[in-house]
Order: sequence, then C-alpha cells, then structure tokens
Amino acid sequence: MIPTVLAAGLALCMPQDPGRAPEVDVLLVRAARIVLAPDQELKDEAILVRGGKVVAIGAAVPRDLPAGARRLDLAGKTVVAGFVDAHQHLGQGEDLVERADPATPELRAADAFDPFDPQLATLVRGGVTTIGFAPRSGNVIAGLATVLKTHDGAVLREDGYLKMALTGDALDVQRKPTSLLGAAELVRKAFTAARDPRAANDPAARALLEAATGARALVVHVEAQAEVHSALALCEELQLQPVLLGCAEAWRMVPRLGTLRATVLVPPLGAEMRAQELGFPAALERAGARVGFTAQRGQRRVADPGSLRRSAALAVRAGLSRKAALAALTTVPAEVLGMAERVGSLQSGRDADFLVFSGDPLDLGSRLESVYVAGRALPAQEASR
Amino acid sequence: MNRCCPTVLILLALAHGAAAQSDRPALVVLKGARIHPVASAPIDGGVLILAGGKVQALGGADLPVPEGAKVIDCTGKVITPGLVDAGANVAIQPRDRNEQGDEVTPQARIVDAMDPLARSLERVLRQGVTTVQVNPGTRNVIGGTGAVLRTHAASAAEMVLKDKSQLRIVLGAEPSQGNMAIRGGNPDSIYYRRPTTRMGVVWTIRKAFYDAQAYREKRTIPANGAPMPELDAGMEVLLEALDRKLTVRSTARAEQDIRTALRLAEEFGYETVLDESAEVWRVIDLVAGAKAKVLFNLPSAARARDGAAADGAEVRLNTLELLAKAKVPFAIQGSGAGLPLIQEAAFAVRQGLDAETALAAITKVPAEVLGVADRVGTLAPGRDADVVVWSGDPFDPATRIESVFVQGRQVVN
Amino acid sequence: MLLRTLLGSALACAALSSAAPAQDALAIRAGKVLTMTGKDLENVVILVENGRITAISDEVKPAWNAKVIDATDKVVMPAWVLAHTSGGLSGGDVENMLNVPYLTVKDALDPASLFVEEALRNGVGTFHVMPGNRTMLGGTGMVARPYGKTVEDMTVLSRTALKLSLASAPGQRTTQIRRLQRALQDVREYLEDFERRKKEFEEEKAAGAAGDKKEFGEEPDAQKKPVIELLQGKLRGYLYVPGPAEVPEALRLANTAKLDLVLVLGWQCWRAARALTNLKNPVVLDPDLEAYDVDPETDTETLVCAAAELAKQGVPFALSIDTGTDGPQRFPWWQAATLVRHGVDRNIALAALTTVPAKLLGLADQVGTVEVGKVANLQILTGDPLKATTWVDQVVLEGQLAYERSKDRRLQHLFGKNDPGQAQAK
Repeated sequence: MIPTVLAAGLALCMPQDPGRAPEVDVLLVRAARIVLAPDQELKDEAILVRGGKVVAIGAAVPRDLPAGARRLDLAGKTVVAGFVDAHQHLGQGEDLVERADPATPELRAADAFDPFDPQLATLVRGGVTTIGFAPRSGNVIAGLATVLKTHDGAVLREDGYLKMALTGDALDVQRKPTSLLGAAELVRKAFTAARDPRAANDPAARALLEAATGARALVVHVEAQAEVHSALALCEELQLQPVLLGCAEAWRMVPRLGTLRATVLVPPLGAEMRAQELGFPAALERAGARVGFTAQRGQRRVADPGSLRRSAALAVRAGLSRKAALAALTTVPAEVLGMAERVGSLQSGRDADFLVFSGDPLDLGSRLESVYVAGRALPAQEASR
Repeated sequence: MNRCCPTVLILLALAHGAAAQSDRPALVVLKGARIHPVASAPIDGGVLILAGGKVQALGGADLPVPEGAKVIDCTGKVITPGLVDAGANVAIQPRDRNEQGDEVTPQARIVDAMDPLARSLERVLRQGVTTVQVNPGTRNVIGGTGAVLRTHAASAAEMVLKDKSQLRIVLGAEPSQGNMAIRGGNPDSIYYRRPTTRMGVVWTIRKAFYDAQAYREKRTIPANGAPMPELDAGMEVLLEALDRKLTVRSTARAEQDIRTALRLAEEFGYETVLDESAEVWRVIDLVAGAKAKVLFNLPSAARARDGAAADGAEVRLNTLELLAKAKVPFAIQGSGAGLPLIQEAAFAVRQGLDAETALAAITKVPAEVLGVADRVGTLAPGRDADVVVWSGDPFDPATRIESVFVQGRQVVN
Repeated sequence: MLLRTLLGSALACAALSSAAPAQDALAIRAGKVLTMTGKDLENVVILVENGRITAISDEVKPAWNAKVIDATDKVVMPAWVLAHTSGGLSGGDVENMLNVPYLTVKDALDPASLFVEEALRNGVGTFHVMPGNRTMLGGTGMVARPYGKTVEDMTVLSRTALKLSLASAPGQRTTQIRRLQRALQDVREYLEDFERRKKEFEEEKAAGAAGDKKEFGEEPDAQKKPVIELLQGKLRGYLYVPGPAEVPEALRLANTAKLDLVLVLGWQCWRAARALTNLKNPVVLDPDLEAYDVDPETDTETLVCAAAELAKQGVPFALSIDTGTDGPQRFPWWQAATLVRHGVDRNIALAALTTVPAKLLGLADQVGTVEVGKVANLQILTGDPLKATTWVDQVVLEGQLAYERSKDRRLQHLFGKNDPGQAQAK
C-alpha cells in the first residue's frame, strides 16, 4: 500500500514526457461504501478506473483485470466524488476586480490565475478537487469565472459562468452606480445592448448573451432581501436563469426561491448562527430549490475547505436531506460550472477524482484519509482534513 | 438548536399555506360598525360585504347578508378604507433611495430596489396603511420614478399596484449639497459636478427637459429607412412627463422653491404635485390658482418651538386648515418616519382641520393623486376590499387597530 | 441634619403659598372636574383662596371680589406632575466627570428655556428637575414650577434627591457597577473614619487630654455631603437603570445597601418587570414608552409598551416626557394615551402623571388631585385630557392664572395670527 502511494505521489510530481505514450493505468477501487452520486451508492462493490477516468461500476466491473492493474481495497471506508466549490477567489482577491468600470463582462478570472497559489494545495488536501475561480463582487457585472482542477491548476474551462453582484461591495460611492436603482438600470441596459445584433462581435456582448441563452451559467451575488428581490425581478424581466450566491439575509424569501426552483450557493455555516440561517438550506430543499455550498467567505479571506463538510453537517442537523447535502458538495456546484458530465459524481466516463473517508462524510467524526485525483492518490501526509 | 428548527419549518409552512389560500378570499361581512366610506356619508351600524377581494356592497343594517358569508360582528367599532400614504419611507434600504452616480436619473425606478418582505412594510400595514407610494430619495435633482405598492400581497409582483406612478424632482438646497470640486482630495470623484447652488439645481432641471425636447426631434423615425436611433431610457421618462402621461412630484419645502416648482411646470407644461411643501401657507392663492395638489409631511413634528422645517421653511400649524379653506386638495404623508399615519392625521385635527377632511387626506385624496382612486382609498362597490377596523374613533390616540383586510383577506388581527 | 431637612421642607411650603397674595380669591365654574381621587364631578365651582382650594361644590357662592373663570364647557383637572426630568437645564444635562454629587441643578435651570415654556403650555404644574442619566453621581435636584423669572421664583423644593446612574459606555457595564460601588464605599469609609476621629476626640476631651481645643471643630467634607446623606438615609436617590442587566445591582442597592432609591428605568427594563414588584418606591419610566422588540431567533417583532408590561405585574410607576425630540412624547397627555392604547387602565395612566409623582416628591398633600385643602394647581382643558383634539386652555398655579392659550404669543404666531393677509382670510 505504502509503496503504491509513494509511486503515485512521485508520478504526480514528475512532469509527463510528451514523447512517450503513457502506460495505461488501471485501478480497482473496492470499498464498504462508494457514493457514485448523491442518490446512488455501492455497498461492498468496486469501481474500475482507467486512464484517470471511471470506466466501470459495480456489476459492470470485469472480473479479469489487465496485468499491472492496481487494487485499492478500502474495507470499512466510504468513497465519494471529490468536492466541487463553484465560487473561489483563492489568495488572489485583489486581482479579481476591475474597479474603474462597474460592468466588465468580458474580463476573465483566468487572466488573474496564479497556478502556484498555495491555496490550491490547501483546497485539494481538504478534498476540493474542482473549483470555479470567480471574479470578486466588486462590480455589478464582474466577469467570467474559470473552472480549474486544484491539484495541478489545469484549466477545464476558461470562460465559465458570468459573475454579477448587487451587494454593497459592487455599489461604490465613488463611481456609478451607488444603489440598486442604478445597478438594475445598468444590468438592463447591458443585456438589452448585448441582444442588439450589431453587437455580435463585441466580446462583452457575447459574454452577456451566452449567459442569457444558457450557454453559460449566471451567478449573481446577493445578500439582503431587497437585493435578492431585485435580482429575481430583473432576471425575470430579462429572461435570465440565475444561480444566486449568498442570500445571507433572505431566509424569508425561501418560498419564492422554491417556486422558481432556484439554485443557491450558500457560504459557510457556523454553529454560532441563528436557527433560521442554519435552517436555510433545509428550507430551500423543502421548498423545491437546490443548494450548493461554497467555502469562500467574504471577499479576501482565504477559504477553509473543511468548512464545506461542516456546512453540510450543520445543514443536515437542521433538516437538510443527506442526499441534498452530498449534492451540495458535488453535483450542484459541478452543474453551476457546466462540468456535471465530468466531475462531481463517479459515473462511468467521469474523472476519477475521489475522497476516502473513515466513515460517513457527513459525520464530522469521520476523517478524510486520502484524496485521489484522476485515479492517483495525493501523498498520504497531505490529505489532512 | 434542534429545538428551533421545527419553529422555522412551521413558519415556512405557514407562509406557504398563506400563499396557497390566497387564490380565493372568502366572502366576509363586517356588521354593526360605523363605516366611513369617505366617498359618501358615514353609515352607523352599517354592513360591509367583501367578496372576491373587492367591496361587493355596503349599506345600513337592513342590507341583506349573503348566504355562506363569514359574518364578523363589529358593533361599536369604526371602519375606514385602508389608509393610503402618498410618500412613505418604507421598503427601500437607505443606500438604495438615491442613485448618486448622476444628478439626473429619470430612468431610475424605485421598484428595482424594493424589499417586498421589508419589516417597515409590515409595520405600516399593522398601522392600517394598505397602500403606499415609495419614491426615490431627495439627494438627486431628478431622482427617478416612484411606485404605488400594496403593503401586503401574495407575491412581490402583485405588490406593485402601479409602477412609474410619479417622477421625482427635488428643488431647494438639498440636491446640491455634497457636490463640490475635489471632494475628499479626489478630483475624479463623481461628486465633482454641478449643481452646487439653488440656481444650479433649477438649471439642471431645465437642461434635462431641454435635452428631452431635443431628443424628441432626433427620436422621430427617420423617413429614409435609416436605423432607429438608440432609445434613451431617461429621456423617454422625461418625454412622458412632458406629454403629461407622468406626474412630476416636485419636492419643494420653502416658499421660493414652491414658486419655482409651479413656474417650471408651467414653462414645460408638465403636471405637478407639490411635495413636502411646509411653507405652502405663504402661497396658498398661487397654489390654488395653479390647481396643484399638495403632499404634506408629518403634522405632529411641527413644534411649538422654532417651527422650522427642511430648507429653512417656516411652519404654521394652520397650514392644512388654510389649504382646506382654499379648496386645495392635499394629502398627509410620511409613514415610516414619524407616527403612524392615522395619528399624524389626528394631529392635523388637533391643529384645527375637520376630521372628515383629515380622513380624506390619508385615503381618498392620496389615492387620487397617485392615480389609483379606482382601486383604493374609498369604500364603494367594486373597490379593492382594503379595510381597517378600529376599536373606536380612529383619531383618538387610545384607539387600537382590531383588524386590517387587504384585498378581502384579513392580514392583521 | 434631620432638623435641617424638615426646616427645608417647611420653607418650601412657605414658598408654595407665598406666590399667592393673601385674600386672593378665584372661582372656577367647571363643567367637569377630574379630581383624581376616584370620583369625577360635574357642574361645580372650585373656590380658591390664598392659593389653596377651599371649597368644591355646586352650592358655593364665590366672594364678591373673586376672579371667576368660566369653564362650564371645559374639563378641569390637576396640573401634571413630572417625577423626573432633565429638561430646562441650560448647557445640557451631562457632566464629563463621573463623580460630581456636589453639583446642583439649581445652578443650571433656565427659567427662560423652551422646556419651561412648553411645560406650562402643556399643563405641567410641578416638575422634578434632576441631573441627566449619564453621570454616575450627578448631583442634586429640585422641584420647580414652570413659572417665574428666576430660579428662586420657580423653586418649590430645593435639594430634593441625589441622582445616580448605572449607565455605561458599551461593554463597560461591570466597570460602571464596580465604580459606583467603589464611590459609595469610599464615602462610607471616609464617614467611618470621621466618626472614629470625632469619637476619639470626645474621649480625649472627657479624659482631659484635648488640650486647649474645646470643640472637635471639623465638619464632614461638603463635597461628599449628598452621598453621606444618601448613605445615612436622609436623602433620597434617583438611580437611572439603563437596562434589565443593571436591575439586579439596582435592587441590591435598594434592598441590601438599604438606600432610599427611586429607579428611573430605561425602556428595556420591562423585561425585568417581575423583579420589580417589591420596591419601596414607584419607578419612573423612560419617555420612550413603546418600541419594537425583535425576537433574535425568529426575527419577528412585537410593539411593546414598557408601562403596560409593568402594569401587568402591578409595579407602580410615574411617567416622564421627552425633552429632546419633535415627537409627541413631549406631551404628557400623549404619554398617558399611549398607555391606554396598550390596554392600561385609564386611571393608572393619569395617576402616573399626577398622584403617583406627587407622592414620590413628598407633595401628596399639596398637588396631584383636586381636593379641598390642596394647592390650586389646575389645568383647564377644552375636552377630555386623552383626546388629541384637546388643548390646555388655561393653567392655574397656586391660585394664579399662569397660562392662557388665547394669550400664548408663540402659539398664536404658529397659528398664523400675525401673518399679513391671514387675518382677512379668516
């Protein structure tokens, strides 16, 4: 076991030689419980990983493995897909806002990305294998997020979802707009202009238009009730399907969010919060909305990946179903990133990014024992949360 | 913590239930109260029938009660229409009242910033106010359009009774305050701009309307098939005002500003109501001659001390009496900033206004000013069933609210 | 010391009656009298001689030289009594220093202040002026009438009580409590030391060892005197209690330390209503009577009237009025009406501005009711005191007509009587 892990660690660290075809790497993972997707589990069965992808699950795993195939026997352990966090600034908050102009849809977070950011290692050790690296909420129309793998900084999609914000941070008193009145007018104007055929070649217009047509998601940061209402009303008027980020003060708007089948990305929960805040994800689920968790709290604070699992556990204690809690860590953020066909679940053909827990991942007593990315384990001592 | 969660869920379930029930308000009969329909003479021991969210009928004790109706005994109580506040300070966060990116923002719409679940709305609802006009703030010269909101509705969309109900223009010293060269040592500040004086404020208004007139010329569809010019949302709003499709709410406190407001309205031909006009007592004849309506703030705050209001306007306690004598229609407004609206009207009565006019000033007149008199402000067949049941004389400070109905649904008990 | 206090009140009584010259007779023909003794009267004549009510009857005939006020269509009731206010103090009511028991409001009360003018306009006959709520040991107060050109003219009682406060800067509640305990303990120790030295001197003198010195010759420190008297039970204290968290300390001072205290309660103190049922004195309530109470868990809010909560627990209280804002809390009638709106019995509400404060100020035998033998401090109203439409038409203080609405120049001005063109319009 130990040599395997070491080998994997070395393989991870060594640059791949482009000249030589890599040896096909086959891994059989057997565990007490494998959560393939929030609503699909294997008990004492196995999945087969080949070339960094899941190729077979459960009964479909062939009995005969090719020579050189590795076997990972995780008796008593639980395996889940690597966590996905759809909204991350890493340690680069300062570079993720272009203050001089409140509407910068053409900007890409990718252009601010530092592949050597130590925060990447923190995230992957904490089980977050894929993130949306997003512009900050300092502008009303902030720009495009980038989808990354945390273990190597590989960019999966450079022009991901469009990030917008109607929070106080976007309403700067030293430039337009200073209020929701101005912000709404700005958004209205921007999307109307983007739909003008004459603007087809303008990258800013294209970024907006693709968000309007659903080619990319639209994530809107809102906190106060008025901001949530403004976002929903605007999106209805402009025929947009937003994902809401934040909503800290909007627990009374749950019925409306439910009716709209909205997706809400919820910042870290803490045990000190009030009942309605802790109950917010559960209430959203009951009302028919979907929940994703994000570890990013505030604009500049370095994210603690452990907060994802804490949020989920607290939300489950307040009534969120386990299924929804697992989805909030995996499939929901993967969908927001437009990557549901690749990450967030362990179906055949998906990336073999998975986490090994000593028990149920929603039980905070369980330990994250190891992190596998593309079928290869991170060095054991690094998987620490 | 677990203990609390069921409570939250119950609350949410209740909220759901309320939404589900909302489709069909029951047939309700309020019987035995003194009814002030405002549109007609008071009825003692009257019967008020609410059906389908509307007033179906009202009359004396002999009015037959329809079968299957829920009859509520209101003997000894007093019934008025739900109160209408033509300028309430509710539902908008302070930050969002003014878009200070420009001095002239006619395109700004207050509905974009409303919080349909704001606590301030609940508060005024519990004070008997069922309809409010919310406006952009007073920091801009042309602040944008306000909206008429219900203080209670099944959804945020139904809450808006009338969007773009008025265009707010502010005169006097306030909109120029804060503008100056190199504010805070920052020459790039948005506040490095005009106006900084009263004359600058008036010129800013004039220029906006001149621009709108010029825009109208450009905007006409070119005959040669050239593409339509791009529409300017702000100019479109100003054109509506110039075409008298949108009333201008001229906030003018001091005498000179009231005169200016009327002069500008005449100059450009727009229709205006005077807002916060504390010093209107000096120009009653002028206002009566111009057939302008007046929105008056918080009579209770007029103090027997120095009697000064905003913009240095001098206060007279008999202002409303003078307006009533000169037959100038006026509304009393200002929920959310002072006392409950009913008690503000009670102070007007204390200062000499007759009770009937005072009640009209918080129901019928504001509904007319806001262009929603066919829906709210009076009790008559076909009007919205917005009703307040008071424990006694509404102007008695010891009177409580027994219940409030909005569109036939009892929302306060 | 006790003798001096008694002498003080005797002088004060003299002051009360001296404002009315002898033989001065006044008769008020009243349509209705709210006596505040439990029985209202109709169509009676109130006879006033030398500042006091000498008869109330439908039969009494005024003397030929009596001034007659026709109030047959009006309501007569006792002028309001305010148990505690910091209005009328020129230069504000807050001292920078915390420990200034030697100050007295007498040095700051401004007879020309708008507070005094408005008090009279609103029917206040007697008010207890005290230092503000933010000073730990703030000085002594006085009882005044809102009438007179000098503080002496206005004085009803001097040096009535010492003001204490538990108000603290945010986060310094415990510090403030300890500081007040320390300040009182310092004086207690000083007093013990003084008494010990005095006793030693007396013993030495008795033993013939005092030498030439015949008398001890020292007086206690004058600056500490109000606190000494408070500790000795000779002077009452008015203790401001900002919130329920300070209530236990207030109760300790009142019950364990045995100080004669009147608690002046901030709005939030209603939460501690059940702890306040066994006080020796009625409490005085903050002018902000109603406020929204938000449940921290559910975010739901309720409009709570502090007085109504205290009334439910049977805690006796006096009301106060706001002196700082433009809100109607500046009107005594509004304060009482607010209570009634919240379901408090009308008589309790009216008593909180008449009989209860009269008793608190030790003037129960003089003001607060309309009764034979009482000082004639009366307000003549155009209607029921709790109606918004009612105005104070006249105020009689100690038998003298002190206020007439028809001659209230400021009010007349505000009603446009001096405006050019308005006279014709009328």
